[in-house]
Amino acid sequence: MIDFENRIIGMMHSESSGPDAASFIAKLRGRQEKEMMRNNRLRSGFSAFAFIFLVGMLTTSQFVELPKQDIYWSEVDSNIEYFDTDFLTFDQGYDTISDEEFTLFMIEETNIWDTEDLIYFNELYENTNVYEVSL
Amino acid sequence: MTNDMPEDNDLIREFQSGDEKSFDKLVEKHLQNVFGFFLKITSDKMTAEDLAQDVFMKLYKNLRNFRHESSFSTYLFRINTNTANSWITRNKWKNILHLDQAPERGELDRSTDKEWERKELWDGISRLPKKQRTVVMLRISDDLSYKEISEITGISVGSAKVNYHHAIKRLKGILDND
Repeated sequence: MIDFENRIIGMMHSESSGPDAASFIAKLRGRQEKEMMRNNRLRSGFSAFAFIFLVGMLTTSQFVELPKQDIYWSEVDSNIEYFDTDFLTFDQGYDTISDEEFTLFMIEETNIWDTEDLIYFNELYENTNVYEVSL
Repeated sequence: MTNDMPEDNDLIREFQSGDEKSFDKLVEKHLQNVFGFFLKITSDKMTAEDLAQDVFMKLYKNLRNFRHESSFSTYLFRINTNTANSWITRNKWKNILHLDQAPERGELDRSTDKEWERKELWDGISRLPKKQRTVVMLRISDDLSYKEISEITGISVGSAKVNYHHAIKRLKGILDND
């Protein structure tokens, strides 16, 4: 076994001289600079990605549900639901509001179909009143 | 492996304080040993120089955190061994290929014959388990004592001896069969 060990140790023997220290250090410095530049590039890339991601998240978080349209007439505590198309279920309080004013309001709010309903039912109401009076 | 001269520790402390020139002095001091270690393993000057560069790159990155708990030469040997192990693992199959491409035995050129034997030997070493490979490398390339090997690898002296014995037995079997 010892002979074998000596044999393989003999194979390891090498007489080659090492590299020049100055050129070795110069190469080492060059490699360090390259690696530093690569790390800086990685860091910049990551920072840019993080910034874009953050801006994207902030932007998309602004896309919240659209606020419900303010119910302009609901300042007053009332059971009246002005945007309910079933005008026949209106509360008695409806009668105190001017029909013309309300119709105008509905037209301005571009609720055409509701406005038509309102006009139709208003005429119906007036005709009914006229009829009842005639009775 | 000699005990650390105070110089190594002084150079390290100066480097840790920010003096880059101290690192250059450290490199100059240990370059031949590190290069020689890898030359024995690779038998190629350029590869040995590249591996030595890898070692000093790792040293540059990690020396700032060196706590002087072990000697610097032990620390350096540890880096050498890990780098050598990585290289051997990476080139395992390439080494086998080199054997296939080596000139036929029987030629009268003795240097070729020697080169063949070295390649066979390192091919055999690359096939050893990692611990045995590490112990064999440190013992045959740098003639380190078992105590020094146990300090570098972190295994006991007894374990180093056992691993070396098994490795040599295995290498003998591999080389005799080839």
